[in-house]
Amino acid sequence: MYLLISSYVFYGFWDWKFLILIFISTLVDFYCGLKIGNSDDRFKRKAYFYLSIIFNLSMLFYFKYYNFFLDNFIASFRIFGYSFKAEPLKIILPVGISFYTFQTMSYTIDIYRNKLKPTSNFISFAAFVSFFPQLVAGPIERASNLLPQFSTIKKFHESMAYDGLKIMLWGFFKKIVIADNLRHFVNDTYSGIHTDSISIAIAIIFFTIQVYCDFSGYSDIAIGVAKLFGFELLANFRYPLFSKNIIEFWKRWHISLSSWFKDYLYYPLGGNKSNNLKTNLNILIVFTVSGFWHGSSWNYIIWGGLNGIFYIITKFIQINSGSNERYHRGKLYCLLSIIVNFLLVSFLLVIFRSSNLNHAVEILSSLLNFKSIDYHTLWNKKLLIISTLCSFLFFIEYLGQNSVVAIEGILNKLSKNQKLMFCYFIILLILFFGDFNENEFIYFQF
Amino acid sequence: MKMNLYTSSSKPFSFLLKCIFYALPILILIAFVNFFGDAERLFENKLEKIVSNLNLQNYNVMNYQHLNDRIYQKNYILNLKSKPDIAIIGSSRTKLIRSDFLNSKKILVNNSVNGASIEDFVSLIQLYKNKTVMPKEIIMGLDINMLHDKINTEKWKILSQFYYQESFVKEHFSHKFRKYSEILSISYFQSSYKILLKNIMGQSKPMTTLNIYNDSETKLSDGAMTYSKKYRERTMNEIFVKINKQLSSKEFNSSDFIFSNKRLKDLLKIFTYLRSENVKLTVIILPVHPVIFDSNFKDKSIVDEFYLRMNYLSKRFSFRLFGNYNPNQYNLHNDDFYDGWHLKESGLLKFLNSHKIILPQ
Repeated sequence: MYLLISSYVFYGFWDWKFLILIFISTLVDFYCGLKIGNSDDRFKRKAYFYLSIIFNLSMLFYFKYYNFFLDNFIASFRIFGYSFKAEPLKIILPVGISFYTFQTMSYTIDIYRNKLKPTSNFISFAAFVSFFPQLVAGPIERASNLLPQFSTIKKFHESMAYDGLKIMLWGFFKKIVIADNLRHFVNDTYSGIHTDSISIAIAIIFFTIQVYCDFSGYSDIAIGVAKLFGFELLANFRYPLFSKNIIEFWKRWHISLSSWFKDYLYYPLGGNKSNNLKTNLNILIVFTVSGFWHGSSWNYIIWGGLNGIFYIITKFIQINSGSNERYHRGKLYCLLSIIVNFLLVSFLLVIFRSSNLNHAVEILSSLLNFKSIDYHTLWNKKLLIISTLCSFLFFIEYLGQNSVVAIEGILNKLSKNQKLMFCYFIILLILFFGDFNENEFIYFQF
Repeated sequence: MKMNLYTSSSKPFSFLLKCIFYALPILILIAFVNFFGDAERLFENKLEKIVSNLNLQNYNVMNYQHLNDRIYQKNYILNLKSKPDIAIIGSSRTKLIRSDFLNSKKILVNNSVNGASIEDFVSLIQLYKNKTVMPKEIIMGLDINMLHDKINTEKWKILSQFYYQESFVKEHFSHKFRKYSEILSISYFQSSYKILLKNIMGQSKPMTTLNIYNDSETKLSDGAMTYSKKYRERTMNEIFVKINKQLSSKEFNSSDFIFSNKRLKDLLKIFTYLRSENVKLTVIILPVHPVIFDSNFKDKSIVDEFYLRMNYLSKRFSFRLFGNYNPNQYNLHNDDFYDGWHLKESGLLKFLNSHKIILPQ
């Protein structure tokens, strides 16, 4: 009950009106879950199932996608020479709506598929939906993992709490030191302050690191805070920047979202059970929808679609290339694969970051304009400092690849006092280099 | 369902105590740096006393670090030796107006403070009241964003005792202890450690000089200032980078601007008081850089409303009103600006000369 109240208070700080929405969503899905689970009538089960899905998707459509569809509707009329006037909705996107609607939909879908029994405890369910560490930007939890944890009596575990603090520390380092410092240069470049090829190339790379550190940093903080309260959340990132190809990348990046789409869209579409063409089409659909989930704009859709295309191409290459195990395991090959994949992901993220498609084209063509090269950019003091910090990040993450959280990789090699000193070192890095201006998390906008 | 891997249990209170114990060195470090570095001079203001005293002895002062304008002006005004003929009150946009812009022997003092708000104006005038000496003329550099309801600046609270004194209201106790809320502030830490390092290395000892322009920022004997050599000699590219950053900052955004009733009320109180004391008042609105003007001020109805309101008030309270944000009206170009908001001395002179009656020639 206390968790529910504090989660609602936390969420209400953004805007108290959002509380009404999340409460209604909770009520509808709780009711539908009970009806689906407690009924043997196939028709009734289907009706409540569709009620839940339609309600959640309608909410998402209304707050997030209405204006996008309206603008495109008007634009398509204009192509045929007709003018169509309609007022766009002036509404604020409720924080976290993309996350908690998916979370509650997974609950009702799992019940419908007989993978989960519905809960009759409304308080537990409401707390599951609104659990504040992961409410606004994930991880998108599965009811099978998180809901039972609200039903068990929580005992305080010191080791779990310490683990939570460690994870939070690394999350704060990634967000405040890396992501928020990279933000300045990236924003300056994308807003046209730096227009030379070198600056654009650096900004493209920086943005990949920024969005990773921003989002995974938030996830780490959420997971760490949950641990303080004795809750285990699902891991959301597994060192995606060390992926050797795009397939591996999407198994490691925003795991809660990609697994959600795999379980609730890809498999219902047929998954890989049909022929190659249908499988590839399913992959393309899933990635395009996933892109659309990120935002109501064509560049998100195209970004998602392009990821799908490269996924399909990589799959094709993997299937058709000869499997020379020794060759593929060579360190140089691995390193080159990681670099190539990183660059591919970075280029695709240009579309994600740009304000629209024209902007993305502008950025990419400025990158390829080798006439404008300003080498002074490379000797910028702030840039050198942030690059050193990024190198430190990659070093720690490389060492920690086999651990749940990167920082454990190095902490496990140290004595007790050394562990303490290392944690102090991270705290000092945050104190000296952290950007403590009001910087929102990137994924809050989704 | 994931099984809980942890089997030991202990009370959360002892965990909390352990966390506080381990956090103590960090907290002590932050408090130490914030207190001894003291970026905004919250805890100690010897520097402002030293600089203001030297200025009042007619010396220019250079080589100081992070002077707190408001504490400086408090010391300066309260220790003035003679009644000024003209006092300039405004923000950093009017800080460069100095005595030698006058071609007469009139005494000009500049009481401008960075990020000035209407509350600062009330406090500065209250300081003169406390001194029981009012300048013969006040030139007020006013900007529309000073009247914004949503601007929540904290800087004026350094002189809050004078602000509340004006209204015969006791200063809220929280303001007196406001500075102690910064003792563990991380953002204050980041400003303060740089100052502390410079203090330790002896790089921040104020020195007197006869020159107006020096390598470091210089506080002039009349309270005005000149920028450091590095700032004065920035390239056009550097200036445009700064302007682009200022464009995206929230310094003035006409789309969400609302006139603050409280600040308008304070402004009216100032006008009423000055008129009752027969203090000649001139309000100036300084132009901005052409890029900032085109983006933030041109054809904006809220800016026109601001002009109209000020025109009305100037007639009602019989004060002179000059200027507007349009740099083209004063033939101001890129070379006349240090950045999007701040005119160079050349630009200020162009503006002031075009309204010859502002500063007696």
